[in-house]
Amino acid sequence: MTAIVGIGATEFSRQAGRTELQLACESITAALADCGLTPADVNGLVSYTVDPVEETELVRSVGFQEINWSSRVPYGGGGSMGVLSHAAGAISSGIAEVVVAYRAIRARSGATRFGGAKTSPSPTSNHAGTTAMQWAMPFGVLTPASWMGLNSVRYMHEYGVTSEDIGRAVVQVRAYAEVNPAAWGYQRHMSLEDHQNSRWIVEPCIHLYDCCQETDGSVALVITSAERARDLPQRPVRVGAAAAAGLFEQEIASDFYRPDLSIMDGSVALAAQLFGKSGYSRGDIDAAMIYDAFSPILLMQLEALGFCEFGEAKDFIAEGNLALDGALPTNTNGGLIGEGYIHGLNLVSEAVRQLRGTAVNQVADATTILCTASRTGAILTTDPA
Amino acid sequence: MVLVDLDEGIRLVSNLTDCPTDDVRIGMPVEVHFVPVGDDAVTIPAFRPSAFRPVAGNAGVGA
Repeated sequence: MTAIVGIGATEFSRQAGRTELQLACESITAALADCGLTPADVNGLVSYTVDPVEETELVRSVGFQEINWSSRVPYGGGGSMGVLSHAAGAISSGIAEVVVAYRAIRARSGATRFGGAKTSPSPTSNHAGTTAMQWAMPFGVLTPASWMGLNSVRYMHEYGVTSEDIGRAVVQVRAYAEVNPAAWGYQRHMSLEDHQNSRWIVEPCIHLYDCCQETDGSVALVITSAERARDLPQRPVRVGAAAAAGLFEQEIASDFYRPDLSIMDGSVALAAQLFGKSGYSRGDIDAAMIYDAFSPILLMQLEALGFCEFGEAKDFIAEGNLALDGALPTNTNGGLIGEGYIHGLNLVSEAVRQLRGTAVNQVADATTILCTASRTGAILTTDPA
Repeated sequence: MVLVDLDEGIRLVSNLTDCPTDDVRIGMPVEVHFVPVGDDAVTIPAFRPSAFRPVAGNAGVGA
């Protein structure tokens, strides 16, 4: 059994003014300080395949002394929660004892804006997971918003979902961000009218305010055995379950070739893994952190994960269930839309804060939280093993 | 931008042409034509509203 014992982050900005390596060093140093460990205690590293920070430079810069295990998770942001299953596997097997999971990104000020057009003619994408996009590029399907848009239109058509229905989810996560000092959306109120009046990015499904923030910053987690966690200062947040499900013909952000475009069936399969094998049920979940790079997929994941029926996320949201007093408080840091886009890993930090009881928007008595990103996920809990 | 299900059983990312935006409908029958792009005589498949009523099955716009 494993536990997250430390979390760290840089500020979230649009212009970090320093390299991804520097950002990673800062968040990792903060995460180690959070749990009272030193670089010499760490012997495992895990990040995303797409992360630009090389392990060799990180070891030199942070001062790790001996790394016995490292790993990278594919599928971009959809793989973000995979760092937890990788770390848990390494620690449970005994290959690693203390693992640092990190993601460092300059999504706004980097060489290419993360939400911008991808036009590289390269036959491979350097493990960004976007190789198949070469078949979409000639038709102007160049940006993440356009990848998401095609399936989102089908979803809206299939279930009679309107942009206002989607906007209500955005209003909720932005309300959380509005009081979170770490968030881009801090003290920036957004009404449903503001959402509807923001310009179209992909008509008729994605307004400007349906898009996450392209963010510069880094987040790091320290993970170790539940046994060792008991001797560390923070309340341990146990990885109660961790799973992944990448399906035939799935792509990284556009499942153009799956049979039913209106369903995120990678998340259906993920939920079957998470709930089917762990002994947890949906009723055990006190709050959820769900990857919201673009707001339509927040609705689609709520359905795919089984918190409501297909087509009914719009009603589930309109009834206020994502709020603190609702059935499933969701993305209480403001999500990737309202807080910032550290490619999903800042959702895990928020889950940890909730379970420590230190979140800005605290869910009362939260003991068990679901973190998911399309096809990877984990159930984090303060319950003893 | 459209996804098109072909009668042959595959799906293509493509463009819909020769159709006012307001007339686009999910499921509408379309037919292929080939559009030159760039300067090097490359053509790519695009789709436009079908001139014929399909007899069985549908080549339809997927999204």
